[in-house]
Amino acid sequence: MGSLSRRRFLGSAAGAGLLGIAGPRTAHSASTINIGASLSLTGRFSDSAKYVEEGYRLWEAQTNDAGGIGGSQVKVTIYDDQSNPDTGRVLAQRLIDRNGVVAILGPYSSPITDAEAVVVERAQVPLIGTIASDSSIWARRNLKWTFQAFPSSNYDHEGFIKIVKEKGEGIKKLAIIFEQSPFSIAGKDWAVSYAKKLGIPVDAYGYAPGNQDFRSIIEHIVNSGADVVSMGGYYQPSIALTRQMMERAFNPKGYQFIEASDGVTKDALGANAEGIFGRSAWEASTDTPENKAFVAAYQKKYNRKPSYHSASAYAAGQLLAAAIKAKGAKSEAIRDFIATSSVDTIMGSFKVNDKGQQTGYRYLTIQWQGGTQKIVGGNSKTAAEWPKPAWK
Amino acid sequence: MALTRLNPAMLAATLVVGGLAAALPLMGASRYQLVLVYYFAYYLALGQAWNLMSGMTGYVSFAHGALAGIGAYATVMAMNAGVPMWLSIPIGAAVAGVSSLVIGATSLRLRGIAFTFATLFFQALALLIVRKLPAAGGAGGLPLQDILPVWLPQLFMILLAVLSTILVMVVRASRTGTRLLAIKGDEAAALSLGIASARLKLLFFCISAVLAGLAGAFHGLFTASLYPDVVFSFDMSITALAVPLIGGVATAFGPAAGAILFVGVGELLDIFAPGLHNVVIGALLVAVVLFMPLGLVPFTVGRMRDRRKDARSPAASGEYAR
Amino acid sequence: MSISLTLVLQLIVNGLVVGGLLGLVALGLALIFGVIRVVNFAHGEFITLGAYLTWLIAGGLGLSPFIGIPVAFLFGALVGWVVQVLFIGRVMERPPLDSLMMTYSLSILGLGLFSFFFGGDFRSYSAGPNGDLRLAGVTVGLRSLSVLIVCVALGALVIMLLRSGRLGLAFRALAQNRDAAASCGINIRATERLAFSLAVGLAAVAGALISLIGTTTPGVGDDWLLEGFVVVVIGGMGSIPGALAGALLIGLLQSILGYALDDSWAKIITYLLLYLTLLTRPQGLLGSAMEM
Repeated sequence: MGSLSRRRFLGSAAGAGLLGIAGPRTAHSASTINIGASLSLTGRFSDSAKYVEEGYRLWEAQTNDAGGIGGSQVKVTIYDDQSNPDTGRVLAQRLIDRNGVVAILGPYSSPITDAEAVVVERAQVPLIGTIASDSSIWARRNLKWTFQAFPSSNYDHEGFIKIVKEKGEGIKKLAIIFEQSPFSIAGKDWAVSYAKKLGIPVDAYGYAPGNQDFRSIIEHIVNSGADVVSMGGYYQPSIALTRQMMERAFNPKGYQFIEASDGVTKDALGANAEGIFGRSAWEASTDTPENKAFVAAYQKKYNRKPSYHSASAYAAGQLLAAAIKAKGAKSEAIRDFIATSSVDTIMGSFKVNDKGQQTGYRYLTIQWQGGTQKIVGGNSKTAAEWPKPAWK
Repeated sequence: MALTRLNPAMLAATLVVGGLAAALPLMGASRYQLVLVYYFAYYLALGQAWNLMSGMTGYVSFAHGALAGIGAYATVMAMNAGVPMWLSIPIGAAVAGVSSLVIGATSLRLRGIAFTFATLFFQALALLIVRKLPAAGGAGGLPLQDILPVWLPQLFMILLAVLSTILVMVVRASRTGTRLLAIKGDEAAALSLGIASARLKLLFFCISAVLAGLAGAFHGLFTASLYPDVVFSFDMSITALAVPLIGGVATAFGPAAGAILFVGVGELLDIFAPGLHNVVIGALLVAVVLFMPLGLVPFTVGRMRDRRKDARSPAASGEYAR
Repeated sequence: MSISLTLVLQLIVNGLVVGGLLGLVALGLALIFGVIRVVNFAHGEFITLGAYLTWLIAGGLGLSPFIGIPVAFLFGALVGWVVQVLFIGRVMERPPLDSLMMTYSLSILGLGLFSFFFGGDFRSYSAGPNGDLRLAGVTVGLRSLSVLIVCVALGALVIMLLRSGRLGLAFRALAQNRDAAASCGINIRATERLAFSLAVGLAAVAGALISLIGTTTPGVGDDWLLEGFVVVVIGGMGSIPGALAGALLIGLLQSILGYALDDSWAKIITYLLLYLTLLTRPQGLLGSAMEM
């Protein structure tokens, strides 16, 4: 049995050695600003995460080409949280302790954001929720070091409902479909009360995350007489829902799925994308010089038009740059700046309230018209098409 | 099968390593190193819980992740309601224990596969039901309102890992342990020998569940953030069984080796090849089942012993029965 | 909520589609358990295999997804053969714990490989029949209809194979009494491999069909496997007619409950039925008392 105890000690020693060896020890040198990022490069949201990574890398490269911030080069270290909060927790700690980052750019989903928020609250390093649309993380806790840098999912259905009110004379009922996860539930709750306030009869139907079968829900909607539908879930379930509605030969007069602004919609639905609404945190067609410059730079580097994920990532970089320029590359200073300042980025006007929730950025409403997506509603000059043409 | 006595060297080693791990914060270890040690302790505690039941009796449980999750939810809900921690934790463990009795009652008197199915669907049901429970926060998740300083749950988890390892050691060295292994080897024969199989299985499943519930409770205090889709995903149940299976079932130190492997390989993969996690674990498991069904530690010890045996005279071994 | 005849018919149609797919899955599970006495936890990965293959064919190559069906079957059968020879066959003489852990480990490995090669995100394709059929007020999508037809046809073929033909005889012989079958001169090894192959081929076809009416993720097969297990436990572990009857029952039940309550409740109640079965009649509706 002695050999076993020896083995155990050896094992611990190896483990301890591993702790020391694992990961590059980056010296916190004065000439590099270390920034960390947690991305779900593998796992459920890996497609979107790739776009976010591209946005960070573009910002990093541009910033360094222009001489860095205050003379110091920027280094963004990205780890893959594998869509797993436990992994995210460890990597946040690794970024802080081994890579010496002054700030962390945020992960994708609520559970991972929440997990890393707890880590940074304890370690006192700012975390920027780059694509965190779920405001409930900030509502249910006092978070001083985590900030929402994306429009709140509360407003997912706002633009569409406004258009329904404006254009939808004589519509019978609005059906809202939501995924039973925090961001979607928040959007549904807000939308239901907003619709009621506007006098639109409304029903809500929830589905479990990962569920791809909407047939029962569609039956309910058909039977309830609803003729306008807004889907507040992720992209792929939305496509499944759309196809199943087509199969059922159910033609709503107005139809939104919030992620319809993803360019892939056209590939997935072809001509049937016509008339579908979506909500967008950012559009390439927005006409400001800064935005145009970003789109051009992105196109040059990646040979593709950027999506809102990349734009949001880039904007988070802009936010950090503003903070560091103003207050220096120290975690506390960055945190204080972000908590109190209003910053213009390509996403709009960043501003958080005292809970850390985003109040500046808002959504745009888009609609697929003639094969391209156009910004409608709000200040847009483009008229919304109504009703939606029947499926082919 | 020969009875083994409790080995004082093993006991001492466990206590020393546990003490060292607990003292790490005082030795200036970084938070990153501490979090790795924490996960080692968590995987070890959960693995030993599984080991105590499934490793010893051969009744495979896929529910240990859910049992830990139930412990986590019950504890966090109690604490959010103002119940003091020293009471919330036992509440969490108790709820997990009661759940195990429910599963056990439906399936332990049947063949092993029925039990396995019962645990599989318990895991699935736990996710579905907790998602619907408004009191548990539903799909929106449940935060622990007061984020505790990290050293407390870390200390708890290390203590639990040490305790559960010693428990496995003690059971292994006892007559009860022999009886459990007899059930694993040939239940019909064990029954014919008068071993109260049903009662033993239920008892140990319950103890195992309580341990898992405690691990979950401490994890809940550590993470301060529970989401049903995360807590009740199958990942933790896989970890609970992979750690002892790869390291060494029905042994006290096997799961420790497994836990070190998990954390060590996990970190390497995270940094250099994320996304290969399941591939590596799956491949390791397949290799273990094919070539080293007892696990890494018994296999290696067996080999070393064979080599020593060849140097001396042949002696009866067969220490590690299946 | 008004209950009209068309609504009921609609729900039945939806239930039949799910039941058909479950039937293919359960058929494979029952075959493997009946002939080889192995509970195949890796069955979900074979379903996923068929789904990704079809996605490659329809999405990647732009061909008709219906080509995916025979391709999935053949590829699946081949993979099944290899898996049986290299992995399952080697642990079959050992205690059942080992074969359970083997299939489970293969499942984890398979899941990891799919995530690695195809990414964890959803995958779907737009190729395939579009449109629907209207009959007596009931609307059936052409895709769903195709799925149903393939399931029924394939299921019928397999039943015919099992009832007549030497292979079917061999399967049934092994299921009844392995030793007696050997002494009758049946090639045990070959029969076992064929059984596993066939079952995996069926699973892959189920996956191909699932990709047609849904989206594919690395875990898509595992979701269906869970339901498949409910079916075989309730129907009877090694029983083919039990698998088919169970599939129909569960498919219809989930469709109706999914409408009356919601999809999560449908699953909860279905899984609770499993517990009820274990409590009251563990051999299932049509299984033999020995199995559990």
